[in-house]
Amino acid sequence: MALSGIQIFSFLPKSNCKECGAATCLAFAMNLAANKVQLEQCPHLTPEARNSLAQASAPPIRRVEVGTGPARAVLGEETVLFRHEKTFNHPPLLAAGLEDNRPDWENRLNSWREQQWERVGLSLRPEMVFLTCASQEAGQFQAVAQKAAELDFALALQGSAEILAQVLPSLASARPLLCAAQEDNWEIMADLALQYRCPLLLRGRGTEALAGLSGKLRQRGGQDLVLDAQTRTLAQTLASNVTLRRAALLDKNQGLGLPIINFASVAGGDPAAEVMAASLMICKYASIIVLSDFKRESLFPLLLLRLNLFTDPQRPMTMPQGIYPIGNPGPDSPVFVTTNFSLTYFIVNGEIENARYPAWLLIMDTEGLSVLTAWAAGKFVGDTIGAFVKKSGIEEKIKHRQIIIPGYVSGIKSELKEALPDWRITVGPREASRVPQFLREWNLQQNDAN
Amino acid sequence: MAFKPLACNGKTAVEYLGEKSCPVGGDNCFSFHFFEGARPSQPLLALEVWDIYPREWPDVCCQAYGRNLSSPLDWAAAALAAGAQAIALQLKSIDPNGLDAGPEPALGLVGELLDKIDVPLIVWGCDNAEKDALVLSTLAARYAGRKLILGPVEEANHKRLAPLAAEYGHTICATTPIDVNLAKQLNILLQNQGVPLEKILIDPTTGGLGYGLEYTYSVMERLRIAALQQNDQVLALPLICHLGKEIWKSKEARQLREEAPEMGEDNRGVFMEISAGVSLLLAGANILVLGHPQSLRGLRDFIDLLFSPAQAENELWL
Repeated sequence: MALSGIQIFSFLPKSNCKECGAATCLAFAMNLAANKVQLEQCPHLTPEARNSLAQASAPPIRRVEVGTGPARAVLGEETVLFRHEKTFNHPPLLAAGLEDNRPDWENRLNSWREQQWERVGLSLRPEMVFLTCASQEAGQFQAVAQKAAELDFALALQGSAEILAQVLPSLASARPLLCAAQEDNWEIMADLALQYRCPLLLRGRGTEALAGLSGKLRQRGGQDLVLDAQTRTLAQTLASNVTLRRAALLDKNQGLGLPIINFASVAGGDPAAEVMAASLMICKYASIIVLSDFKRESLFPLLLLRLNLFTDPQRPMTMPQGIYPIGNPGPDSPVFVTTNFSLTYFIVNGEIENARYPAWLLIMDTEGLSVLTAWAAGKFVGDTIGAFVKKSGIEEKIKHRQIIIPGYVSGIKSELKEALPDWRITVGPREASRVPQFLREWNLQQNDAN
Repeated sequence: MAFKPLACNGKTAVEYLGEKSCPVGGDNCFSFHFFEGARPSQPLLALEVWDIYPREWPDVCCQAYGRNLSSPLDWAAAALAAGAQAIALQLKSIDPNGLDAGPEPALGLVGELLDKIDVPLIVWGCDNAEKDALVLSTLAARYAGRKLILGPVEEANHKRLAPLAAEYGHTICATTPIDVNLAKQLNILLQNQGVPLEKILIDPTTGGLGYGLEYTYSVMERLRIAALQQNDQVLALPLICHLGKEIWKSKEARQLREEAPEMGEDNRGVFMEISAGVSLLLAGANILVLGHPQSLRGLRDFIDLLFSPAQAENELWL
């Protein structure tokens, strides 16, 4: 958690010795709060003060990394209970459970890897495999894990300490989540995690048990932990996740200020039950959600929900500026122009698709503002649209010179005409829902004109 | 560990809907937080019924009802058989950009429905403020005392609708565009027109999954915080979300496997409706209007799971 300058100041020697380069200790504290200097630049800080300061400035939910390379993911570091207070930082990883002795394990992995979609310039895909050593053979376990890692999945490896000790020399570089430390084996698991620098799953039934185990682990030096509260119903999962998040943020409980793993099977095994369980876990505080399988029809909705809720409320999602062809448009197809707020794009694009008339959609960079806001900010007006249309390259794709502007900015028609003297400016509907009807009429008029 | 409940000094109003006085609201904690408060009534799940044959509806939804779709009365009966706890009649016929029918067909249909069903009846206009005011006010007067739930009522048409609804005892869905302050303002305007708060449902405007759902989600959470933690009486009213129509107009829900194999099986739209529905229920929805009966069953299961009496066992996790 970020400390204020005044809070930092209370830990400093207050001698104003100037050896750090700042005129006073208070000035140094202010610079430190603004991340302009390093704590180490103060030569007179006592080790106790250094420790307290490090603890006080630690994020309330510890940052834990799993995976490496393309599979690297960050968990934790959440700072709010409700996304509108600031934002949710790290989307929960979606994982699928796999037992290494399944005969079809390779097909499963390959089919999981193929499940990805493009949206708003982002790639939506599930990112983790939760692999259990059911074969009791290190060789088999390692082969499946290696394949999953090659396919860019982050790994959770669940097995006995003996099995994990055998596979970690070759798999530790993938930074898998080791599963799991619990009351009866936490020492040996903690040592493995420390030796191979891997994050460790901590399993305890209920909050009390987790807090106790987490304290012991941390004393032994284990820090990168993920919590499994072993809930057995969806109601317990909600209670547990909310309790843990509040303990971390409101009570500053470092032993519980750790990312959480949930298992969607807690609501029952059928696909609809997993969708509802995973949806709850996305909304309420899971960092890893384990499903029994990845299937396109149930995975896609979860990826969308996750994308929505983990969008920064202060920074709208944007589309890259450019020409978006919809339904194979040709040189005679109509040209629409609108802003690059991703919601504007999606809704207009969807309505044009629904209308089943091909069209060109010009998306102009308005820094993510919607039509009216961009107009009010002077970013979506005659001059700027005119310049954008000219340099967009649309003139080479069409024979006509007709452009349709959103109905809400009908007022800019004449200034746009000045900027684009060869063009006919048509005012389109205000609401995107009227676009299909507009297109039907537009096409009728074109046919009449011909 | 000593679990400390989040301080809530407010409570949402209990409202009684329909002729059988079905209760909604009355929560003194965030959605499903039974570990620190009470939620006396379960969220109500409604299904859409259109007043005309639903040509624009996706095949997946149509197949769920089959031939029943050709009569709104049969459709409503099938929806009730599927577990709907309210019917949300969509007056598509009155849309000035479509059939542009007058109030008469709607008058007849609403009367027949009121006689046939004994769950709350939501009557939804065509999102044209003027036309909705005309048709809904005619309905309000004709079915005095029959406790309809009328919407959308916006700032633009509330002056025509609100006094009639108040006089004849109907409930109003106060629709505002995803904004806490506008929601509050409209509720105050409605009160000024004589509508008691317990006859107002807040419709925060629902974004589809992948189409702005997060805006609705956060505005609803803020509305609940205002009600529960800031004790704002004007906002402490049940929330209604029209989710079905947003889900089923999206391309991603409608696409069939044969045209888009990368989207998987055709029940994807149902899963989208369930996933978005779960998020809205968690954000505080008291009434969800859904399209597909299978989504209703899934969300019913979800609510039942969270209302299950596992309180004692929960304590381990607090």
